[in-house]
Amino acid sequence: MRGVLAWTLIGLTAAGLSGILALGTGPTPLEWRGILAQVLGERLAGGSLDPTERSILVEIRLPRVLLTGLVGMGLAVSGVVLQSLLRNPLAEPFVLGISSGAALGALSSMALGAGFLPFTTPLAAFLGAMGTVALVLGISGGRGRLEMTRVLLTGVIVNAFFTSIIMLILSLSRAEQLHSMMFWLYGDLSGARYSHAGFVGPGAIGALVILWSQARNLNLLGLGERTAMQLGVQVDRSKLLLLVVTALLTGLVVSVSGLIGFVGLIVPHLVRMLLGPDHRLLLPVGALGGAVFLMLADALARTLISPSEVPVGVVTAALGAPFFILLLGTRGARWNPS
Amino acid sequence: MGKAHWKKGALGLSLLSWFLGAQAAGFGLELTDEAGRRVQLTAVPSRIVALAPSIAECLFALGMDQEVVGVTEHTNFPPQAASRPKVGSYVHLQLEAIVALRPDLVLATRDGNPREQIRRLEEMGLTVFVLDPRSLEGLFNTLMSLGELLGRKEQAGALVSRMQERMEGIRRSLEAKARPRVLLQVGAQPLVVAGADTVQDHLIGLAGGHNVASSLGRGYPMLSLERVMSLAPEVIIISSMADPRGAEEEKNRWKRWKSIPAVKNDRIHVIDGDLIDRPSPRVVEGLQELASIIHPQS
Repeated sequence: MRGVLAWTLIGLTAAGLSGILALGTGPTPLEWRGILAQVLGERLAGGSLDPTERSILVEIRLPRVLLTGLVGMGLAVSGVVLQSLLRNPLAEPFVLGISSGAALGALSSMALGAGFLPFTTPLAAFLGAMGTVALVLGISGGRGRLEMTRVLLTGVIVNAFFTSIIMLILSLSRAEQLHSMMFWLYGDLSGARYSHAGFVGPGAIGALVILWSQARNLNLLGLGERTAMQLGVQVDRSKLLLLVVTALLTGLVVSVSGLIGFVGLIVPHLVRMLLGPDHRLLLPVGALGGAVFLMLADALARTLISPSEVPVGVVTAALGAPFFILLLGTRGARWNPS
Repeated sequence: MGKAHWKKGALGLSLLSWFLGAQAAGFGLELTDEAGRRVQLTAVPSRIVALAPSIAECLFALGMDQEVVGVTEHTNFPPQAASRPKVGSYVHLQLEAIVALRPDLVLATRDGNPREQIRRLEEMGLTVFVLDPRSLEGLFNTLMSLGELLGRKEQAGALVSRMQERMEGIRRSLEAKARPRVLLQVGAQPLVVAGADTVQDHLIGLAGGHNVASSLGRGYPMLSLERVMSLAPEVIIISSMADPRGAEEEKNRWKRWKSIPAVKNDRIHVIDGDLIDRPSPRVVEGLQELASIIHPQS
């Protein structure tokens, strides 16, 4: 698998470059040499930052860029797995109702005024997401076997139900609360902290490793469940593992970022168009691609109407859709899950 | 939320810092802010960021023109405040823009600014003083503690007594008159009005009116048209949110409902929302305007 190594190296380089670019973008101009000195150490790059600039770089931008990378990675990987598993090109991380469960948790905590304790909103969002996963799998897996159409439909219905409760909360909320709620629903990374990255990081990396270890099974499942079974895949066990880990990953990243749409839909398609259907390649490259895409989108979100910012979800969709259409036009609309 | 308690604390505090101020010329100040936290200042602040339009108005009214280095969006008064660097909207602050201004004091509002963001500012070593004026009385207290904090005690005292005198004058001149039934609309679709226990409710009372929505509960209740008809307001006042044309349209919308006394007698008025929604010294002008709307003859 020399291709995996080469593509992963390319992806890592792109992620590193986008990260540094994102660190250099924001309402306050910072010297590039100062940023590099701070990131790489002063021996490698001359230049320095004064305490205020360092505080902006280290306490505001760096945690945000790290978290953005992790979130982009998680969303893209979830998208790759779900599109294959559900054999549906429209699948994306939010299709199982995880997003609305997380939103319900987050908005409830905001409505109850939990904002004066740090971390309550991410925690509530994560619990909401996990509750929804249990609910969807519980309903759809009731008869022992995990049938993907059933999972998908249950997810859609649960999603619709929770969305109605979310709208109820929104309509009953005071104006001041409404703003933070809307920002959460659009996807908001401006509150990024190191502790958020610490909360998401280990879980997200762990999930990625587990999913990658299932890459061969994912490839075989793409040939159809019966074929996969004949080739020695423990189909039900594998599907359940993939679903649960993907759901955990989505819940984790959504809890700290809100609902950032489109990353989990478009990045998987892009890497698939570029690299073909092999998940041993798709998963690591998709992860890095998601990180690159979201870091760049967020850098743009922070500069477009500086010093205010556009919700990053607006940028991902506005940027992603035309680019995607362009690619569809040049490369042809081929969908091949396996 | 513990207003009485807060007032007592503020009184004790002003006595204490009066004493300290006489002794140490205002340096090494330690004050309790209106969220109940101790805030220390080593010198009179010279670079202040105001995290709400109302706070900027208060600062300029205290003559702090030079010291205000950053304001939030929608800060529009006085005009020179509007041209100061912006640090995002008060409900969604741009932390980086605030830090970059290197302020030695950040003035926040307890109800408007997101608490998580205020916490972040403090973690980054900025001095944040939280204000929480919820009533006219609260606004006077806020102005006094700002005076304390910024070494402008005399200006604050003079400003507050000027405001109090004007308000008292208006109140007294209307005291003996019959109180028309007033409805103050703050939002159009859905229809939201000022209920009991709001600054607007208090202002209507001072301006010689009776707020018909005060019976509907505290805060800002949502109303159906049916309910408005049964409340039968004699005066409807529309508080405009920035856009006067929208308010005119709102005025026309009421015209269909002739059974409402205010509509029948053509007593629907628009008032500049900034004058009555913001806890700032301009609220006196808002009161004056309310009074002339509710009692046009006097």
